[in-house]
Amino acid sequence: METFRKLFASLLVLVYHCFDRVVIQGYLPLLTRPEHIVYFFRDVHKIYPITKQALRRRTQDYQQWVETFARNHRIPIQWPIRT
Amino acid sequence: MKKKGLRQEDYARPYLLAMERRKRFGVYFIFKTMEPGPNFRSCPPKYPTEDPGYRIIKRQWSRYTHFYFYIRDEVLGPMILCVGSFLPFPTRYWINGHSFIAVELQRQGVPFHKHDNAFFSVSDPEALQAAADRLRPEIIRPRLDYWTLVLGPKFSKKDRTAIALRRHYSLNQVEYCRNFIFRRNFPIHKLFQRSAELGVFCLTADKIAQIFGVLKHKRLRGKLHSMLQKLDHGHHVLRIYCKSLVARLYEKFSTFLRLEICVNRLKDLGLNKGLENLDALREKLVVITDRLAGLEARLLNVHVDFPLFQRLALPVISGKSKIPGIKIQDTRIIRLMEVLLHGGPQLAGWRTIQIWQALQAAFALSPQDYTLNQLRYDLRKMKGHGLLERVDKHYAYRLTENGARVSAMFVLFHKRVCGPLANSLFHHRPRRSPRPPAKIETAYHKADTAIQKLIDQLSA
Repeated sequence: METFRKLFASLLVLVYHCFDRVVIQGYLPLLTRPEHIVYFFRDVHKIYPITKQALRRRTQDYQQWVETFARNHRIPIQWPIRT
Repeated sequence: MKKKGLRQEDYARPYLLAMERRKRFGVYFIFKTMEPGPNFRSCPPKYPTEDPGYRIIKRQWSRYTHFYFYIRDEVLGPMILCVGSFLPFPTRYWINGHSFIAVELQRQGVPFHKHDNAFFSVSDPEALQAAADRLRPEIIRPRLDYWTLVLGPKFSKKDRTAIALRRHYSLNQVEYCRNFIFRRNFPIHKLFQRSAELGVFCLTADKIAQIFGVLKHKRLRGKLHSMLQKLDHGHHVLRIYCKSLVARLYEKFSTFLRLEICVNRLKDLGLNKGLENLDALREKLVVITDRLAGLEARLLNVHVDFPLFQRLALPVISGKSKIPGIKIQDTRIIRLMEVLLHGGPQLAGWRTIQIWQALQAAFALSPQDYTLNQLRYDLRKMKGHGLLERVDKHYAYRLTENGARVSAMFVLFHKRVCGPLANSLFHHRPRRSPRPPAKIETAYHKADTAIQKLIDQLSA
């Protein structure tokens, strides 16, 4: 950096350094393993057996919530345009 | 999935601008996509068991719906939150340091000029750097928690008391950049092209390992090399790979030089991927970009071509008249330049008649060979190109600073470089010995040999 300043200081208007794009992953540590899922459905929600439908219900609930949220707040929601 | 050449961000941008105009914060667009992600599969066992409700729960990767929420946050600026709609509801967040800085500067009332993800000017550069350094985990985490709570899957109070449903955040990909904004008239584009070409040759594996601060050994995972990209577009990008780290050096907007490091695996820098390591990561990346800047400075300190002769050959407009260009083969102009250069310093400038007399004496010209009108025409041409100026309000002329340089280039090129070498090539080549004791003669001989070698190679 010192070399840069020494050679080009008079030609520089501005120098700065910063983070550009930061991608962060979020996860629920206690819902990441199959045994966590079993505990969550069987012991907490008393849903047994843990069928495909039981798992899917959570997804449907969430998808429905997103649709309603978008409608209520007038937010456009769409699939990316395909060419 | 997306339209060719149009990014999803570009598609949603009008909605962001509308939200900015209304000075509101929140979600402004939602994209729905089918993407692979982690989820769980429930399947009955292959053989019957005592418990009829027994199911095998397996973790797998499959495609399901993801929602991309485009958000305008009051602290982080525009950001994206992606939520997978299947258990375990994975989330991803895209934030940009430049957006955060812009929000901070706006809050402080510091005027700045930003385009895309680049600052071109700011009234207080120190405030900008301070704002950039303020992006810390303590600021990011509450905002991510907030938006996940608002937009993520809902869990009841019962769920929360039974299981600790607090999200953990890990750094998936981080880009850190060091930006140099040059003055508009500095020829950064050509310099950078040349330096990028040199960079590919001088960036050996040892040097790359030294820049990134990694140990080079036989079982090194990933890449260790440099390459040039986008050569055909005329916008060189010098990429340096080290393990899974990538450094990109490129120029944009003619004045902007960026050194950018993309970290895909924090372990390569000896760090864990938790969000709390963002500060430690910054410290490491500052050092690496600093070393890269040192290397780049040395590479930028090169000669590049400047099309002086082509530029002067073009006509210029002065008032309502068009003044023809000055061409390298124009003997009259070369003679005139030589006289103006070597005629001795004229403190009060040259009067036209004095120049005319000096030309006649130096080149044995008669008044008919080179008339006064022809001289006046040539002087007007040089004046039009800014090579000659009048001394105050007198009818006397002298070379401008640029004029002296251009004249030196013209005369040197024509008489000292091109002329003698052409003579060797087409007319008479002096023998190598005996050679007059002049360094310039040695240089001419060297140039003669080099040209001959080039001609031989071309004809082979």
